[in-house]
Amino acid sequence: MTSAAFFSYTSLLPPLIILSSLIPGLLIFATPEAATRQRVLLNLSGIALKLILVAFMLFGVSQGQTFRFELPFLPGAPLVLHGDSLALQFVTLSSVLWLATTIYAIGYLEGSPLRSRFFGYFSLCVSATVGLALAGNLITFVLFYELLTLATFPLVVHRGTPQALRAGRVYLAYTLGGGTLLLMGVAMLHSVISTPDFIPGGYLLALTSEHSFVLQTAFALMIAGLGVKAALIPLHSWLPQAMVAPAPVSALLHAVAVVKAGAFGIIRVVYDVYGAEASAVLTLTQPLLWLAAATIIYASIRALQQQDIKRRLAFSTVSQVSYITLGVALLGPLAAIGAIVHLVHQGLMKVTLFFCAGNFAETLGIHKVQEMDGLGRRMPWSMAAFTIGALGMIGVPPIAGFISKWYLGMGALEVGQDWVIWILVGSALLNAAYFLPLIYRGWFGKPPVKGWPENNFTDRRFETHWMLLMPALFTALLSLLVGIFAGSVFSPLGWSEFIITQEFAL
Amino acid sequence: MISEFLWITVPLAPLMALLLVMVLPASEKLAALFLSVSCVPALVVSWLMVAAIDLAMLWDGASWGSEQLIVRALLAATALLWAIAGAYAGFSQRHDAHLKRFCIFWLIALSGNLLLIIAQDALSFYVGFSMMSLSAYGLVVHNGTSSARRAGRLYLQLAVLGEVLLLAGMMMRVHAADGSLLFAEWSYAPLDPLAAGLLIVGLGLKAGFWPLHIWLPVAHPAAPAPASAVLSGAMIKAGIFGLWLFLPGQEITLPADTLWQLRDWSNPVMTVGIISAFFGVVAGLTRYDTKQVLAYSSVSQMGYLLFIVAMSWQLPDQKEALAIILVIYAIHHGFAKGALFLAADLFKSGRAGSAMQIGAMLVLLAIPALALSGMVFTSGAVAKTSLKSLLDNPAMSLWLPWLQASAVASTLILARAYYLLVALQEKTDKPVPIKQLLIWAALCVMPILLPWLWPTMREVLWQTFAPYKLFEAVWPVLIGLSVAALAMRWRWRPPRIPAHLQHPFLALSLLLKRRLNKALLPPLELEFTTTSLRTLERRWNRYWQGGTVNRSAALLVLFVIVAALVILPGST
Repeated sequence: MTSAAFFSYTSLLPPLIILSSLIPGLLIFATPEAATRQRVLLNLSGIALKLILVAFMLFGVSQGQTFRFELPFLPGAPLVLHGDSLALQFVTLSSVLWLATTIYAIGYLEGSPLRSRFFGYFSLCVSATVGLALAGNLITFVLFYELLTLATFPLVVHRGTPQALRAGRVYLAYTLGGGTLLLMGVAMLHSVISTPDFIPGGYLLALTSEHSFVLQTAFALMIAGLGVKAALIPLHSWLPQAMVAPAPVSALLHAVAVVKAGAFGIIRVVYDVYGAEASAVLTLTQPLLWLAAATIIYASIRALQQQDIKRRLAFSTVSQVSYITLGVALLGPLAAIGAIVHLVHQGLMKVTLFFCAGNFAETLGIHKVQEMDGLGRRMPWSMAAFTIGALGMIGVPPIAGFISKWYLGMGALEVGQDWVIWILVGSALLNAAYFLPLIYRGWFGKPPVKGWPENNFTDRRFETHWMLLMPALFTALLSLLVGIFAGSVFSPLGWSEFIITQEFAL
Repeated sequence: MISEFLWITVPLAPLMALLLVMVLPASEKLAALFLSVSCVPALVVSWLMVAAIDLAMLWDGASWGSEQLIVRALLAATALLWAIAGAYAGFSQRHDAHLKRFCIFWLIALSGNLLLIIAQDALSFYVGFSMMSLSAYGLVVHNGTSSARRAGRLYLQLAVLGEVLLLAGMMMRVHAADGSLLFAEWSYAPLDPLAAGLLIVGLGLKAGFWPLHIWLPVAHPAAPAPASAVLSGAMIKAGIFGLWLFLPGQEITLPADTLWQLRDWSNPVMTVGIISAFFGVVAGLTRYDTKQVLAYSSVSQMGYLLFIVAMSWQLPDQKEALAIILVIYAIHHGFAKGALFLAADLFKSGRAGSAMQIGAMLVLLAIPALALSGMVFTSGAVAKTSLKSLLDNPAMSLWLPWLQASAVASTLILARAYYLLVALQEKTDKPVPIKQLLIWAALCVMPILLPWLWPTMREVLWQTFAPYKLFEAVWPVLIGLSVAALAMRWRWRPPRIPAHLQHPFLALSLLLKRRLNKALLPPLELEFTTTSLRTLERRWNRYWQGGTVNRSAALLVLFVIVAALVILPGST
């Protein structure tokens, strides 16, 4: 690579996107606790810069440009950042939701201690997520995957309570264990074919006859490693425990960063490392399909029994993220569209639900399902956003979740796996069973006679702090709009179809 | 040339009104205005001939609106019924503390109902169907009483079930049609019994014919009267309309080795329709609650509509004629049943003062009741005559006696409803609310006006004036009325059925809810019991007595070598 090419804008854009949150993050660590204004400025300018850069890259990729950055790292495995269309799906999601979550977090943590530490790690976490999305090969992916684990741990234990520390330990045990398995799988593949770039259709097809055992073992190891973050059963139990973290962190963990990193990794491994064809030849995906289906049903049933709102949402995440895995494992173009678009849709809806759950807890001290009676009268806007998110999760049109479900179902029929329809039907029924009671209580229940457990922000113009309310309304509106205008080119669905035309060479 | 963008305003107008309702302070005058005015675009568009609009920005194949007569007629009638019921609701709910909530759910349901009528593709239909189905829950439980909550639970459970079954069937159907969402392209797509069964059950749960009717007699009495009026008059028709769209009879001759076709189910489903027609009457006659009797009458009437749909599977060449009959029947039933449900509120809320008022109310009430029995000069005679004209076909003639018998039965249940409605007057001493009376009267005269307003119906109406047709239409009504008169004379009372036996499914619904709240599955969580690992480690250390580090390192090296031996042969 010549130096001129090295400094061209197409090669510098990917690292700049990562640095746009990394540098503000490091600077935030250095800001004194009292310098709120400075910290907010750093946060917001970082976000603004990142959004501009991402918009540039989106435009470039849609025009057919390639963005690639490379540094020598290991023999046969350079450090590669590559902004392809799939990466951008995840980068855009992370950046937009980072904006919402940062604003939310500023409102949420107003006046609480250790904010410099929190926002510092928060920015690092997003940098790692974006890096993971832009990673151009497996080694780079693993690097950012581990960085993400390390950056999120301080956020999970942020409150420092014994419960939080315990959740943190469990989180670390699971994710580091998963990271090790992933690394072993990547090393195995590296020993066979070194580490080339991710490429649509994969690079292992030629090796399937000779190295089938190694490829299958490596696949199992990598999926087990990624499955920890993607919360496939039986590796999911860190997720409900990590609920003790502050609401913005839960939102980030569930909607964007951690679980999506796992799901995104599975997409990369199946489509860009093994490729649909090789996966079919090696019969890798059928067990994954069963596992994903079992996770969807199991986690939905567990969600029914949870009386804590956030825990219920956590099990719902376990179930919903497996939709992505399910769609990937079906190995058909329509199902793949469903999987990739659900990456975004689930993110938007789940972040809305967590924002709202946080609003209920912060404003009225409500944590349990039973306490939600009559919420709609005190907090109509939050409750409306919550309703949109919950109905979307059930799959009620025209909210985003329906679009994903539709494509997954049509994709399952397309590849002849008709039984998956029943998984979707069962999941929709269970989703309705654990979400509708919340909506019922909120809108039709009678407010408690004794008053709410707490009653904050009564002097504000809105029902709660505006920085808590606006992000929830923003993401709720987005999940409605991307569902209604799914057919337009700029929707996540349109972009997913664009990705799939490349992956399946249609 | 009128812009086809008008079609967008049809479902959008209620949503715009919804925004206004949410922003403005609650007021009953505004509510009546919003609820009725938001139907105006639908009425206007159905009057004009407007080509369908293609909405690819929503999804591929999204298309709203049609120049077809049946779509326009159904749209106009549905919008008119909603508008009248909406105006009535604005006044009847005026003392309601939750007027705003009522309006919100009403408007969403209205928007969904209008959308599913103008939908030309399956997804648009499904969107409208879910909007309507789910927000109708808010209307069913609106009163907040425990019986309303119970009814709502059963309604919602079945509505959600119906919706996911419909979705599953719809996916299979779209897949079989090579991904086409347009109903117009479906009549040539292959159909398998599973998809057909899913669609019949999914849509049937909304349509409310026997045996899928279980929510209907529970939900109607619980909802406020105007909501029952649109529920029975307009919303349950969506299920039948959906069946018509999703399961068009196959017009092509299928290959000889086809194992199953929709035609094979035609006779069984027609039988279900007839059973439903009788079941509704028998069950309804044993009830004492006015709205329940009316609800069972709806179950009975939906049986006829199902009968017509299933008949079209057998007579694909008569589809056009059957479509018109179906729409005539649906519209006729919608107006008449809507008027009766509103009467259930009106007669309870105020007592007629003068003799003239009493007379007017009794006569007005008789119109929809007689129309539903199939009396001459009403839309009922038109509906029944046009249906019978198709049964002249020799293949169909065996159904004719059943239809005539069920016409007698219909008269009986409507006589009972009439009796119970009039008896409601005893319960109140307040004067009749005049505005509501006028709005209701407008709906009551529809069964007489309708055949004159709509040319298609007018043609059939002329035929019914032939003497033998007159006789044909009158005798079932006369028999029914005489039986009712005798029953009155001898003070015959139907047996009282204990409340818990009336609706066994309410108990099942509660059982399901309780069961779901219990732990169904054990936690499947890998527990990291660090203490047990720690004891293992201690034991390990003690075992090697000082040489632990070396031994552990040796073990690790051994592990790496074994791993390398396993992996490397594969890679060379």
